[in-house]
Amino acid sequence: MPKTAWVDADKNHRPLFASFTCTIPRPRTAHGRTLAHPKPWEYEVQAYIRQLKPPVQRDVTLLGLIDGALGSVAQFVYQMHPEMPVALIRVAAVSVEYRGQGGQLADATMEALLSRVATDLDAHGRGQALVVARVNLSNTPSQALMTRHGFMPDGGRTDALQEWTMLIDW
Amino acid sequence: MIKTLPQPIVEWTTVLESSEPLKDASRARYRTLLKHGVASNGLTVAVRGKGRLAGKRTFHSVLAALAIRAEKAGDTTGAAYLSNEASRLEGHYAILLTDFLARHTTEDLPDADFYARLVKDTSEALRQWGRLPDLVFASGLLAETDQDSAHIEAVTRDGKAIELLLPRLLTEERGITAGDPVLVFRRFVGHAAVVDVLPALTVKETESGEIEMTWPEATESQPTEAQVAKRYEEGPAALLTDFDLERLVDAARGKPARRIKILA
Repeated sequence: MPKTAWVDADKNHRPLFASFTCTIPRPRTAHGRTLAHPKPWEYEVQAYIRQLKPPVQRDVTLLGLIDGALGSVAQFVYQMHPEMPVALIRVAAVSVEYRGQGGQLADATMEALLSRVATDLDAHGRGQALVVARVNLSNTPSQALMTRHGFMPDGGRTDALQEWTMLIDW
Repeated sequence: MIKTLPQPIVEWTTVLESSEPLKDASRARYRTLLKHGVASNGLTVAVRGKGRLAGKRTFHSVLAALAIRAEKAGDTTGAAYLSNEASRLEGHYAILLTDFLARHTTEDLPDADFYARLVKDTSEALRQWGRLPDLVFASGLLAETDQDSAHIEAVTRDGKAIELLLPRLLTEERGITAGDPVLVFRRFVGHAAVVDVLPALTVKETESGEIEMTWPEATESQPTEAQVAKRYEEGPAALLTDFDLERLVDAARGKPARRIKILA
């Protein structure tokens, strides 16, 4: 895998978001009319990332930069519970350029995110946290990613989304 | 009979590049073109993003781009006609286009309610002119793209099936993706051949010359990218409620924890 630099997103990175591509374009009819995306969960993630305007105080947006280009994006937010802090992963995605390579960049992105959570919370004297993500029930690559990193399907489940959780300590 | 037409609305850069295909588009050259050329005035739209002004963009009827190409090919009468028709259509659809393009891109235009009417009016103007087949080198579709090239499968005006490998950037700049219909133009500039493309659409033409716009494969308009982003923000990316926090922490209690390495 190419060398990846992990940085927090700031205002200068906004142009990178606007063109971030993690899935194929929406198909069109011969008339040019757009059709539904075959993997709507991927298209939703891409649309969400393209409109990100960092920095937002509440969110941590971690970028995997490869030769200055945006290889991956992961955004999470801390939510406090009296018993332990909870880190909610709002989005995680890998650019199409680095997909289909055995999930190497996705794995590295998840590890960078988890290390970041542990480092942040350790600085605040915390010793344990709960990490939560919502994954579409049809999104098998993401489910495999969560499983590889120790998450378990848990908690609430709607028609399309499954919550995945993992306790971490350091 | 299935007919290929150019997409009815283009950005100002497409109009300018019809005149000067070898130079990068600049606002200064564009102003000169409007002052001395046969292009229409176009529609300038204040584009908004999240309720704020995000810049201004100028759009033209594709007839303006074709007027310039016709003039370069020596058809001055046709160029004047197309230029007038471009101005007429831009005026007729000004309010609808301005409202739609302030919030969407030209690629989303097929989802607009007025799109079918706009295509029919553009098609009728082209039918009256009657010289489009002389101007277009080939019509076809973008079959696929690889790292460097866009593979276009097309038929030339004399009916010969051809395959073109053009630089991928050329189709990307026009927002053309795999499966999209295209019109291919070929002309001499100085002592070089210039090949460029315009995004197109296919329609059904009746025996009387009327065109039929039907949407057999799509019955509903697809949401825009901004709408999809908002839906994601309120769904999978939504913050946990106090109830969810309580429930998740309660369920996690006593479970084994994974040890994470602290960053140096």
